[in-house]
Amino acid sequence: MAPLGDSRIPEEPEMIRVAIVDDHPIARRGIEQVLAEAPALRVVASAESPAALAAELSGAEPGGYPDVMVLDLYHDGEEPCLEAVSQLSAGTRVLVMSASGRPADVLGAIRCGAAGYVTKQTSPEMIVSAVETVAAGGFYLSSQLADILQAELTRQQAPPARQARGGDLSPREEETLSLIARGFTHSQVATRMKVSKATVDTYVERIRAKLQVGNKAELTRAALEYLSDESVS
Amino acid sequence: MKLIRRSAAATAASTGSGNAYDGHEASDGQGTVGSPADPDEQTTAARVENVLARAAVFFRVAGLAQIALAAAFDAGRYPRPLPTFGLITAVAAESVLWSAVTLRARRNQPAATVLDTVFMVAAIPVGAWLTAPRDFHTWVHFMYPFSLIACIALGVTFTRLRTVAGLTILIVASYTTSAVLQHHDPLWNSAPNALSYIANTTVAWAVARHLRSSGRAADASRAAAVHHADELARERERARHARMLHDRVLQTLETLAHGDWFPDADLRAHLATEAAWLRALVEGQPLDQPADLLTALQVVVQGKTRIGLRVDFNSTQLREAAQLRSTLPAAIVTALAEATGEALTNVAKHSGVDTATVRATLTEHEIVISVLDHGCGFDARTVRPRIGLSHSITDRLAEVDGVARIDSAPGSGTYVELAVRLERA
Repeated sequence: MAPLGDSRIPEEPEMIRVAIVDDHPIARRGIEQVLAEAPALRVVASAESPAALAAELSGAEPGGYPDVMVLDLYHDGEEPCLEAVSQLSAGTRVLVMSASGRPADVLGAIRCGAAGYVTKQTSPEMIVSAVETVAAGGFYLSSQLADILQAELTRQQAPPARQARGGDLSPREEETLSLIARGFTHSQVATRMKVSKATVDTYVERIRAKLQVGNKAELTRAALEYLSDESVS
Repeated sequence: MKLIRRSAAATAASTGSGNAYDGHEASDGQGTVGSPADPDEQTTAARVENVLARAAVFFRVAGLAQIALAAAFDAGRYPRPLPTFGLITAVAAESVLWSAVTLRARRNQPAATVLDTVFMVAAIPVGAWLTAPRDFHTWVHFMYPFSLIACIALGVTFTRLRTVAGLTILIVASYTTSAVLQHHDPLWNSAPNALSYIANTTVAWAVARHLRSSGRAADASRAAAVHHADELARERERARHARMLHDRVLQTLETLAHGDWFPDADLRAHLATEAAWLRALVEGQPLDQPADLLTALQVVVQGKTRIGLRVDFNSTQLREAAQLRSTLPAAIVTALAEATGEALTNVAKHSGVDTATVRATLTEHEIVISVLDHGCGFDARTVRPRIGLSHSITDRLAEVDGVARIDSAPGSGTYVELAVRLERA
């Protein structure tokens, strides 16, 4: 599939460029539809796999490269595409999407650099909001993701050896996670915790940082390998 | 009651569907033996009471016949004929009154029988005084044979032996006193006579007791038989439904749950849960066994989805706590599921939004189910109906020593927290 609407880029430089990777054609069409209805978003590419997306984008000019990739966590099988998350996260921001992910896989995707996770049942407004947050460099901590992270991190905190991986959250971060998992917005979390919204945003960023700590170097290396492979092929 | 039944029979007869005479006869027959249509005669116990009431009245009639007989033979010997016949009239009138009360109630009435006994206790010395002769045989004292037979009513009316004995002793005392003091009967005559009262009432009591217990036993066994037949019919119907559900629905559900027709793992899990539930149903396992909290909440959430509410159910912690779920008491599971359902119903009805987030949070000490919406919210201090609604949630939780906290303000949604402390093993 060819990159979409390249000719409009110069006219609307503020638009957020989004690419979609999902092996399920109907699901892909659905996401395209949702994102197309948001005035600030533009779907620039849509493909069934990361490789197909790379092929699609290889001909695109630098300005056409997507700001955000909405990536389906599972492609043709039971295994999550964590490697693709790692590789793509190095060059752009990745929002992981799945119908329902195993908690460990979702945690894995975040550790690999994904900037957010939404389920396919997430409402259209929330998906748009997630893409916008991720495009702005933020971390989209949906209530589902908070729920999964809290369960995974509490479980992993039990053996002390695992703490080196950055799983140990401070009580305030843990509380933030718990409140977001219950569905509260950042502002509501701030009110409940008697702090400012900016502080809550900071907690969320710290949670992300603790999850992704030590990953940057790996990410960069993987991205370089990935890009060189693509340019060879 | 009788009137209605007769008019019904008459109506049946007038429709020309059957013989008018037969219709009337049938209705009368029902009236005498007792039919299921008559609520008083539905049980054997009630029929026993009716038989005992009729027996008591029958003995009373026999007693009155004894008076008539005695009066016929001895009337000429009465020293005061006019007051004597006055007493006979009074006894007959009292007997008619007592019989009417008893027959009308279709059972012996303790109060009527007590009054009757008091009357008899008073009438015996009056009769003795009126008939007191110097040299005639004891049958001149007509109140003796009458009261001897009439006292059988005592035995069949009261179920407690001490009541029967107490009232009998009153009659015995009344008779013995009047026989000895007024008729100057020798003790060898009055003592056996007195004992006859005791024999009559005691034997009547024993027979009535036996009849009553047989009646109760018959009722119990009939009820058991009806219950058994009912169970059997239900079981057959259940088995028929089970076969149909198994062949037509369960197999389809299980195929869908275990195949790859649905990419959505949650939907597959839900299908598997429903299939497991249905299998338990068709295999006859009790469904009200302690359900799993996760399943129970999923059922609640799915139910709300059907009425148009979109619920994010964040259950990872609960999902992973299999050990805890297996030991959670059924009462807590039911209370939490019902209260969650109630809270979601409130969201659907009052919040003005169609989305909510349900989350199960587990800590070391408690399990918390939270229900949050970003709807219109309310002021709990001023909105009365909502207070009622929240009471049903708080009360449900209180039953399992849980706590429900409801936090809402106009414009800022509603947050309901259902918390139950976990028993530390």
